[in-house]
Amino acid sequence: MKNRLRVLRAERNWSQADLATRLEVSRQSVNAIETGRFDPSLPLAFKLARLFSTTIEQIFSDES
Amino acid sequence: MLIINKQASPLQKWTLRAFIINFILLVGLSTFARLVFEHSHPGKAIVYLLSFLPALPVVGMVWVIGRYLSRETDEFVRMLSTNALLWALGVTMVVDTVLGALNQYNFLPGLLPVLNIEMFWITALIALHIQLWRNR
Repeated sequence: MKNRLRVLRAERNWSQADLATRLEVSRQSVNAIETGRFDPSLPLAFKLARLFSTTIEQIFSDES
Repeated sequence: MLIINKQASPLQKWTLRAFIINFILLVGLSTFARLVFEHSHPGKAIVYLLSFLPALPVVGMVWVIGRYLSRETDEFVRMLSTNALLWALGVTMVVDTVLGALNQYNFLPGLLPVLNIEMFWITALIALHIQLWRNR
């Protein structure tokens, strides 16, 4: 799954560690989601959407 | 590393501490049981008791890890931990099968007995650290 997490984070000048703190997850988790190695669960995806004041579809998109 | 440095969450620190205590208990009770077997001739009831004694910290370890997995809120770290446990299970079963076959056909007489539980946890720890390193 593709995502715009890195872009959204950069727009706010947040480091991976900053985002991880806001999400209450490890920095490794943020890195794994950003690089597409790990797809977050629906609750975490909703948390991300709320944090960036957007929708899940605006952050994640199906690769196909 | 996430599990053993200052980044570790209170849950991870508690889990590691409880796990180490159980591991030390396992080594201590295993050694105690072996010494009793070697230096005395215990009765049947004592033999059963001594055989069950080292299993208690194993139950403790499984409980500690189960508690950790059920309480870990970071789903990515939980997935890495589960992967590490599966790797450990696989390695332990493979090594056990190979050593069992070698022993059965007497290819390697005098082969040191490998303690499954130690091999399992050490492999799990190594697998977890490799995964954390790969996802650093």
